[in-house]
Amino acid sequence: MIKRSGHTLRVATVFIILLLPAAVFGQYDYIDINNPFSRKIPMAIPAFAALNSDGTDPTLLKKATDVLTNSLDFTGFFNMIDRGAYLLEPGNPVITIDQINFRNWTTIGAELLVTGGLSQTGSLVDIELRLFDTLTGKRLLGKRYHGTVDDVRPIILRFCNEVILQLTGKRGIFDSKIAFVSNGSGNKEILICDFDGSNPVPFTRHGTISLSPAWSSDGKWIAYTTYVNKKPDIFIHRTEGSEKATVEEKGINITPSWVPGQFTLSATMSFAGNQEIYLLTGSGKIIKKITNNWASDLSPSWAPDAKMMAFVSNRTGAPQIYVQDIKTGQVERLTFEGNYNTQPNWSPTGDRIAYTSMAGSRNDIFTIDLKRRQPLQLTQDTGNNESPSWSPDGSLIAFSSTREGPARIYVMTAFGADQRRLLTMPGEQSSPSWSPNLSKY
Amino acid sequence: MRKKLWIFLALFLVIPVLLGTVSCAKKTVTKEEPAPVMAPAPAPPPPPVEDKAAKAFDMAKSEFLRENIYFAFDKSILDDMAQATLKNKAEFLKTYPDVYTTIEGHCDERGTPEYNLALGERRAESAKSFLVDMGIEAYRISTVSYGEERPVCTEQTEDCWAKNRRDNFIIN
Amino acid sequence: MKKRASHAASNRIASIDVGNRTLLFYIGVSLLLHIVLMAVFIIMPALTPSRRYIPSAVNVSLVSIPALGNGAAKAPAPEKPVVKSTVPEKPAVTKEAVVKPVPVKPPPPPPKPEAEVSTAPTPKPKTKKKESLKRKTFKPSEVIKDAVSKMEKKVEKTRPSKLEETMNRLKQQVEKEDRSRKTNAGAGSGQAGTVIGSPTGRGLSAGQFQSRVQVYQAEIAYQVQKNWVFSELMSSGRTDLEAILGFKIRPNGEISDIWFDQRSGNTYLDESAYRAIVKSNPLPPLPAGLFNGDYTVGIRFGPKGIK
Repeated sequence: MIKRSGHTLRVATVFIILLLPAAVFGQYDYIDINNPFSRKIPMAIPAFAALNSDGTDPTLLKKATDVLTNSLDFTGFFNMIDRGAYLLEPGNPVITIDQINFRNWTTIGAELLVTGGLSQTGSLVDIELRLFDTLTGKRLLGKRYHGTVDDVRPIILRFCNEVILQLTGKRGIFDSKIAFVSNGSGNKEILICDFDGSNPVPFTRHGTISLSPAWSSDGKWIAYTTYVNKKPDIFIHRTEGSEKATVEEKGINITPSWVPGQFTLSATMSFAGNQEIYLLTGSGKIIKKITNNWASDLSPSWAPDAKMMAFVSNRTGAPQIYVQDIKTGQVERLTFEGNYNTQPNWSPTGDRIAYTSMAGSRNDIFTIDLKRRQPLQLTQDTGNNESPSWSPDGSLIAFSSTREGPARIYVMTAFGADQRRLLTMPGEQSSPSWSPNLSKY
Repeated sequence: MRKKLWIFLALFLVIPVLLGTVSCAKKTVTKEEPAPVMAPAPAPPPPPVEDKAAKAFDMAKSEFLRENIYFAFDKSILDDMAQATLKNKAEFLKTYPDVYTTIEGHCDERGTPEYNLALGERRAESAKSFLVDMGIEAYRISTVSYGEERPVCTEQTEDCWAKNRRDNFIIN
Repeated sequence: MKKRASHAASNRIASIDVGNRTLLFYIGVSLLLHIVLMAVFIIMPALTPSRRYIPSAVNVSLVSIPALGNGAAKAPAPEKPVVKSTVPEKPAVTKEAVVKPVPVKPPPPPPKPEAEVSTAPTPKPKTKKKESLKRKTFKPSEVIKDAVSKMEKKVEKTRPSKLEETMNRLKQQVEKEDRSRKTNAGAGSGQAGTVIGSPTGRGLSAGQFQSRVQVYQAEIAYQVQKNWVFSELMSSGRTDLEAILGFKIRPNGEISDIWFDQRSGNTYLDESAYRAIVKSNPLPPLPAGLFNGDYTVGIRFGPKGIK
């Protein structure tokens, strides 16, 4: 009897002891890894395949391939694997899941695979695009589109937006545009180009100085400063169409900046004697004064929830960046390092502000996060860098740089990586302003 | 006699004027001669009074237009030299009450364009206030800021920057 | 079920001699429990990594690997276009075609021809890498041929060290990295890896065992980190996120199970950590005699940002 219960007890004990280490959470060593080896997911994009045997212009295939590859590359999320390394069998298209041997792709290190097929009949095209995860062999996205030859680029960009949405949870920026100032015509005019610098077209043709373009949050209007009346006034103009409004008060009318989600904008005006920031309707009518300080207050930039406004003030003697709570009117100084901080631009993610800080006689781009108030320098030792403007998803910053000599528009990631020139035009380009997402869909 | 007069003119008018226009930035305060009420022309017949006045006005006007005032970096304060120059301008404006002027405020290319637009206006307004204090009617003086958009030189040197940090005066 | 089994067993045993009965009983029970546990582990939906979970990128590297052993001469068949690229230092072999240099204790990392690419992002993360890696892209077969010759030259130059030297170097490396990395092994007990079947390597003192474990952990860390792809953009630059995963390594280096001990709350970070481990399979084989059976270990992925 006693022996029996002793047995059970011992059995139980043995059983428990054997299982114990495995059952208890994490009773093993942990190794710490704090730095990913790579920020970019390796991606492979084989050339577009023709879906019909004839009738497809090979240059169209190449264009489609280039648009797809360059656009996804632009985001900085991916490391594009060189096509020379692909393991492809000539003559065998790689488009649909059953045509793909995923091992061929994982072998060369690709974790994502995008395939495209295009068939052209006259001026009409059918396009198929697919995104695969090579490690799991799963298809993440598959889309079919139909349009004209001129729709090839927009179609592919639309697919790219879906790719980014799928992978990051946020929509891509491929239908956004960038407004900027260029003096190639002899005068500073405002132009607009695609997110990647292609297709620049004039927006203003005033033949005088035009500056500081600012997009409304629905992307339908641009407000800017112009010397049409031989003094700095603000014009508000439809991006497509001819509707316009003006702000032509006495003194300066500068630094227009729209309030997110509203048809209102803020601007600095000095008609009342002091340079203050005012709130105006999208039609240019003054609603009220926002700042209230003897010093110069300018360059407003709004938080995405429109509850706070960052701006520049020289109330301490030199320009610094401040943040005002719109409801309470309370103003707080944000920048304490450096003695010339201007051009605040609030990130669409709401958590940080990009700005320009001057040291010596050179400007550099910084960001500062609103929680810890820590400035982070993004450009260094590369000429003059100013006018930061965030992409609509907060992942990229456009800015102007004189690192090559004449001022050019550059783009970098939100943390200062991958700094590259956006476009080159005659004259000098500056003051980029990145639009919101402009999708018509 | 006439010749001597001519030489006299040359000595006391032309040379100081020439000296005065040598350097903008490091201008020493040369007291300009008040517009001489003298017969300027070599033409034998004594010139009519209106011509004399016109000439005087022209000379004063060109001086008014030519002389700029300059500022320290990021400042709109008027230093002694600026104030002296402004006093001359005030004189001119008092003498010719029909003259309306516009003060253009400028900055060097350092810093950022928007802030410089604001600074340019402060510089122009600063000069205007001074003139108004000296008794010139405010409605005769307009101001406009060009920020860093209209530089007179583009080298990245202290010298050039100093030249650009200016108010210049035009006559409307 | 277990109870019934043991009861059945004990019933059968009951008929045996009384004296031996107790002993046999215990043996029977112990056996049963062992069988049960083994069954559990086999049946469990393990992430049995198939051959296609291969560590990432291909291509070239101009890796200057310090003090490395042999390996290079035994270049795996370069003609094969299909290359299993792994981190240079590890004899992480997946194909039988590849000759595995005979490992002793922590096997000396042979420079593999299909050495790894590092795409160091433009602001270089302050990794304590000993190598400098450059990135190029070539055709794999050409790459291999090219790299093999380069490696062979390199190996000539760097004197192939003895096992001890390698281990010491790694040990020193680990100690250096210990200052900024904390490994839990500081608990001092050689209980690292004593999940099941504990015994420490025979003949090793506790200290020796400790450092050898750390050396192997360093290899794991190196391999997994190389396969970890994650962008700060996906986490809005936060530096306080941490994903903690655990996984099991079979004696031959194969990863037999991966799980989350703690998710970070950020899906992309969690996924990237998981994939990093998946891609690191197989790891170098467990140092012989160091562990008995599988080795379970965890990794804390805590991206601290680029600058």
